[in-house]
Amino acid sequence: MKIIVIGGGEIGSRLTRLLSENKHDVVLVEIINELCQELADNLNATLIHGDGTKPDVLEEAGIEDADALVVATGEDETNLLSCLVAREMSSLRIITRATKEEYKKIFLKIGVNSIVSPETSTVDQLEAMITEPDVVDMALIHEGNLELIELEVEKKSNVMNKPITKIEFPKESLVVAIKRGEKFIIPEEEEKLMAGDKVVIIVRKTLEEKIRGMFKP
Amino acid sequence: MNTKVILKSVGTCLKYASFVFLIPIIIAIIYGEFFAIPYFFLSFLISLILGFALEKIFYTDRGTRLDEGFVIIALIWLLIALLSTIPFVFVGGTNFIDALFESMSAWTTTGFSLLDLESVPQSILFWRSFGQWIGGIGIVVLALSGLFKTSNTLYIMEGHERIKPNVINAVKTIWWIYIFYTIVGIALLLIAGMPPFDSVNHAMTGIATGGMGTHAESIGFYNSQAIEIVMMFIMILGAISFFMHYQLLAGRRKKFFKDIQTITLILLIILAVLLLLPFNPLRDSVFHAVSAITCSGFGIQNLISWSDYSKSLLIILMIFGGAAGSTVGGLKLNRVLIFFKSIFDNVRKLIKPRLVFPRRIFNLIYTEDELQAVLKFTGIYIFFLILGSFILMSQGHSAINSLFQVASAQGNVGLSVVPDLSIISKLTLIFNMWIGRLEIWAVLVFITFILRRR
Repeated sequence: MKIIVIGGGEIGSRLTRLLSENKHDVVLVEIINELCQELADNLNATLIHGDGTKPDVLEEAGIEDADALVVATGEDETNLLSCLVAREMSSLRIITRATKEEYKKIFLKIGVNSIVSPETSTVDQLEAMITEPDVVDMALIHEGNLELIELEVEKKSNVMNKPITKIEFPKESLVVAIKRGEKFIIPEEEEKLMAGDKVVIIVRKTLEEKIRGMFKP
Repeated sequence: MNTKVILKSVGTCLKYASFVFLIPIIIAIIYGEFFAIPYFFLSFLISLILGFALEKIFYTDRGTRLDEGFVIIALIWLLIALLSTIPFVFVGGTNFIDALFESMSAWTTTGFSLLDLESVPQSILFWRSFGQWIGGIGIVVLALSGLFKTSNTLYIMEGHERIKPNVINAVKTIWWIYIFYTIVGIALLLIAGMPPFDSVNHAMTGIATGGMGTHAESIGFYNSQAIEIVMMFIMILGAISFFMHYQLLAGRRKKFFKDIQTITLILLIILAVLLLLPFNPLRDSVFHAVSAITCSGFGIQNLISWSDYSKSLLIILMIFGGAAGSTVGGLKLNRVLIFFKSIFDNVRKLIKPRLVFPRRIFNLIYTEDELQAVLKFTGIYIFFLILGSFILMSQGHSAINSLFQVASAQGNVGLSVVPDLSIISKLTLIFNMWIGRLEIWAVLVFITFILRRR
């Protein structure tokens, strides 16, 4: 596949590396000259020095015969303009990075195919895991014979009021997050579990029942 | 630049270098050429005394700077070539200009010769070979010391990783590798059926990619395919970066065989042979292609009768040369690769002005400064080729022969298509050999230094 990536920041450059390692033909557009040269030296991709919101730059990047465009600069406004210009020029698949909630609709309206928000997607995923009852089915985790479970800390249970490190969890388990009221906590080692907390744990399937037991009085 | 520092350092180098004049005395004793001994000893004494005198008169405790280093090496090569004329004049029986031509050809590992090789004493034959041998390792050591910054030789190959933490150790390691290969060369030549004295000489001038032999017909004298194959093997070894030899001997075979310069060298030889084959026999094509690109200058046939096409192909090989960090002359393959890549990049940039190119050719990484240095060096190299050819043409030689002879001199090759040279031609070729060996800049800095002092 021929893919154009706009923005040579952390996300753009990592994506370029990943795609080129998978034998895709990648063109990376970056506006800062020195960064552009550095990326050219270190990546196995075609580097274009220019402004990714300009039609002539997109044309030079080869938008005509590209299969996909990933817009990944750090600024939503730049990304928006870039997507708009690109959509005007071609009907290729456009994936963009967006941070601000209020822009997402606009992105969709101008014909962007997918929106990725690195900052919020982690939270979204976590939320989905927690709000779904009991077991969150995730193909990947299942393949590894693991389970992502959510358990409520019941009053007078063994784990109540104990810091996470002091609780004797089985070896193959890990506390991922705690939902306390409306708040999500990525727990520190010293975080104490309180009654009513909903705790998200990733665990080996065979140990699931043992852990469930620990959360009961 | 400080004249005192320069002359003092030249004195120190000369003091140590003077001992090389003693080595041929051993050969003179073995072959009973006792008349030669006083002249070698005289050369030794003059060098030693001159060295000591310079060191004492211009004594200073200030260290040497890079710019002074350029003047020092230019001066050293010139002085040693001048002092080496003593045995050539008094033992070899030639005039001064021919002697200077011969000794510059030896010390720059070129390989041109004006001597009647069948009649000169063995000690003189050995003296030329030994000069080439020392000159060859001298240039590798200089590259290692970082004086030839513009040639980005050893440092750049491995991302600025050095052979060993310090230069002294690296120099020692390279010396041992050099001696080891020379001994291997002698053994292989003996096995191939070359007489012992000739084997020693050819192994030394082979690994130094020097090209001086012991017979007027060069390697053609033996008419032996076994000897030719061994000689080609030694020449190719001499044209591969000594840093890579170190990797090979340290057991890192992959690094050696993946070196872009080594691969380019082999591919260019194959390509050249394919292009020569329609017009020349296989045996001649292979041998002379190897001899030209490794900047050795051994021959198995008279090249004067070769067509202009075949000569120009050899000219291109002589201009390219072998790998940087070896004993070859010419542009050197890392420069050739960077040069052509930048030309290719430039064409693409004219079509797509915003393209940015990696400064890397497989494992050969270079900086913007090094690219600039390569372009400037290539430019000045071609300029001096044309200038030299121009002078030779004024002496009545054809354009192709003039260019061939000058490219051979400046690339420190030694293949020759012009048998009778005028004094002006000889002096021109001496100059081209000198600048070629010292990567031009050193000589230009030297000349500037001399002119400024007036």
